[in-house]
Amino acid sequence: MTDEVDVDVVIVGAGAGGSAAAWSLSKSGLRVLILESGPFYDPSRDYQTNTQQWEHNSFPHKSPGPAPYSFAPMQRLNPKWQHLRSWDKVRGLMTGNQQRRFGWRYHHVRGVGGSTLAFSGEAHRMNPDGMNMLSRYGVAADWPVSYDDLAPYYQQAEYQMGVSGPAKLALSQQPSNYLPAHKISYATSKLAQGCEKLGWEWQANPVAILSKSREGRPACNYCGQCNRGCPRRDKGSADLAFINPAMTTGRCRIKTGCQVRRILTGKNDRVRAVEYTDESQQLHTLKTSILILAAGAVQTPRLLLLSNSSASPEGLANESGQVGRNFMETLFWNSCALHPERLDSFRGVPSDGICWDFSNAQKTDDYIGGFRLSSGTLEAELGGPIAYATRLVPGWGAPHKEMMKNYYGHALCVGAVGESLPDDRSYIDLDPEKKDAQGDPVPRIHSHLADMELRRLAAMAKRCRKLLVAAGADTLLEEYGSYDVFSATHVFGTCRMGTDPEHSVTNAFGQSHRWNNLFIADASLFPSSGSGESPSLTIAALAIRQSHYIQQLIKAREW
Amino acid sequence: MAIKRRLLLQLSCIFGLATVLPSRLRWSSSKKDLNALIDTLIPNIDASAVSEALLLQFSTNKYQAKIYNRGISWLDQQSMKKFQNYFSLLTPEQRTLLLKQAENATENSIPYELFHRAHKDSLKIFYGSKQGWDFVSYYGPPQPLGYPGHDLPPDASDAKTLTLENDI
Repeated sequence: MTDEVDVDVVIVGAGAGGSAAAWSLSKSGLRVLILESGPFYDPSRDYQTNTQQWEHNSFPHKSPGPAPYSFAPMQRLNPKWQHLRSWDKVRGLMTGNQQRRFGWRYHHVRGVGGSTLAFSGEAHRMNPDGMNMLSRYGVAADWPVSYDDLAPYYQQAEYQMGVSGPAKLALSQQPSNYLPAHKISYATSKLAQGCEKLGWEWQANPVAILSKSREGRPACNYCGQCNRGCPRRDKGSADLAFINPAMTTGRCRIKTGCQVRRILTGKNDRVRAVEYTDESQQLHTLKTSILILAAGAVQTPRLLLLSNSSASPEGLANESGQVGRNFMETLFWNSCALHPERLDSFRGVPSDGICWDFSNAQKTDDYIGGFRLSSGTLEAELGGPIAYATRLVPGWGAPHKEMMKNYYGHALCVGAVGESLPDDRSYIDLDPEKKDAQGDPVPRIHSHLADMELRRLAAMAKRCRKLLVAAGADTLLEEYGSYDVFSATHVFGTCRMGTDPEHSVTNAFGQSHRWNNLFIADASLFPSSGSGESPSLTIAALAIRQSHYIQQLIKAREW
Repeated sequence: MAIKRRLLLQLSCIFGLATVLPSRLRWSSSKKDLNALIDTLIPNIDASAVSEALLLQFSTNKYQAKIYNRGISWLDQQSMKKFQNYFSLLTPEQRTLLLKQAENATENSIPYELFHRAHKDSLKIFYGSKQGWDFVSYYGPPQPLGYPGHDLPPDASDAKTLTLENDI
C-alpha cells in the first residue's frame, strides 16, 4: 500500500533526537510525520509509583516492548580483573561462575519519548576537551562540530527540557540559563562532605527536572523514581519537552506502532521512500523528500544495513564501511555501602550531585579518557525495602529481620560513568539467525572491553570506593560494573559524523555524505562518547542544529 | 418461579465453589505449615497475611504451587522423622534446623527449591506490604506525595510532613 501523505519530512523514531527535530522543523513551518514503532505513554495512567506494588515493577514497558536485539559471544574474563567483578551481599558474584562477560541488557524504551521516558534527567553538555580525542590523543575521532557551534542549540534544548542546575556551566564555567538547582538530598550531602575532605569539587547535577513549576507542569516532589516514569510530568522527557509543543503547531503528526523495515533509494543519490509495517502488519510505502533516522545507535545502523541494494550493496549510506562500526557503550561502575547514620536515601533526585574532577579528557599512565562520579543510590534502584531485603541483607530469620531494621535507609552509593573508546571488536551487525516479528534480522551487539577500558574502569571503582569512605560509609554491600556485565543505556558511534567521507557516515549536520536527503539524528553520530556526560541533551542539540540546516537548504532551494 | 430462581442460585453457588475449592482445599490442610514456614523465615510477623498473598499467587502460578506443595510435604516428612511431630507444631529452633537443611540441600532438589523460592517470595511480599514498610519505618509509596523534605535528616521534625509549596 502506498501512503498518500503530504509532508516535508519523515522522521523514524520519536526519542530525544527525532522529537527535537520534529519540534524544531514543525515550529519553522515544515510539515513533519514521525513513524514510531512503540506506543504513546500516558504519565498519569501508565506510571504507577503511587501503589503498594510500586517496587515490584520497573519501567512499565507497553506492547510491543523493547525492540529485539541479540548479543554476540562476549569476551572471556581475566582473573587479573577479579576485583572488578559484580557482586552483592546476598547473591555473591552476580554472574556466578561464568567465565565470560555476560550480555545482560541494552536498556531502552520503545515509545513516543524513547529512552528519555525512563532516564533520570541528566542534561549534560559535552566537555569541549573531549570532542577532539583523535587530534589530542590519537583515539576515537574528532567531532566535526565545535562546542561553540553547539552552544546556542544546547540553550534551546535546555529550555525546552526544563533543565535545573548550578548557576555556572560545569565545564566551561560560563553562566547557565538553568532553572535554580534542586537542593541535594540529605544522603547526597554526605557525598558532598566526602568530596570536600578529598579536595574534590561536588556540585548540583544539571537535570531536566523542574525545580519550579512552569507552563502547567509542576515542580519535582523528589520521589526518586524517575526511572519508572514520571507521573507528575515534571521530568523533561522528549514527549513532553518536544512532541507536545510540536503537535500544537498543527504541522506534526505521529503514527505509532509503525516498524520501518527498509529505505528505498531513487535517482541522483536520493532516498525516495520508506517501507514500514503498521500495527496490523500491513506493509506501506511512504514517499518522502527528506528522511531523518532517529532510532538510536543500535537500530539506526541496523535499518541502514537492512536497506542494502544494488546502489549500495554494503548497506545504505555505508560507502565508508563505518555503518555499525565504532560502537561505544556505557562504561560504568557503581559501589554501594552502608552509612552508619540513617539517611533515608530513597529520597531526592536520583543523580542529584556530580563530580567532574576526573572527566577532563586526560591521558594518565594507565589510560586515555576521563570519567565522572555522581550520586548513585537511586540509580542503583535502592529505593524500596524489597531491594534491600533481596540484594543487600544476607541470611534469613531473626538476624535478617534485625539487619533490615538497621540497614534500611542507610545505603549510600556512588556511580561512575567513563569514556568508552571505539574498538574494532565492538560493532553492530545483522544477526544471521535471530529475526524480528516481521522476519528481518535483529541487530547483534558485539562488545569488547580492551585493557585500557578496564584500567579506566579500575580507576573509576577506586574513586567510588574512596569517596564512600570519605563520606563516612563503612561496609561495602554491592558493586557492579561493565567488566563482567554488558548493561548499557547510552550507546554511541555506529554512524559517526565527520568531515572525511572515507571515514565517516555523515557530515557535521548528520547528513549522509552521499545520500543528500538522508539525515541521522541520534547518538550513532557521536565520534566519541564523552567522559561521562549523559547524551540526551547533546542528541537534542544536534537535532535542532540539523533542522536549522535543513531549513536553510530548503530556503536556498537546494531541494 | 421464585423457587426455581433460588434453586438456580443454589446450584450456581455449588458449581461456583467447586471451581474455587480445589486449590483452597489443597492448602487448607497445610496452611498452618505455610504460616509456620513464613514465620521461620521472617519471625514475629503476621505470617497469615503473607500466606494469603502467596495463595493468591498459587491460583495463577501452578508451577509455584507445585514447588510449595512438594516442599511442604518434604518438611512434614522430615519433621515427623526427626521430631515426631508436624512441622507447624515444632518449636522455632526445630523449624530453623529443618530450614537450614533445606537451604543447604542439593541444588534443584525439592527442599532446595522450596527454601530459595519461599525465602524470596516471602521477603518480596512482606517488604512490599504495609506491615513491612512500618517495620523498617518506610513512609512510601513514592507518589503522590514524594519526599519534599528530602534534604533534611530523617529525624528532623518536618522531614516526613513537609509538602510541596505551590503544587499543582
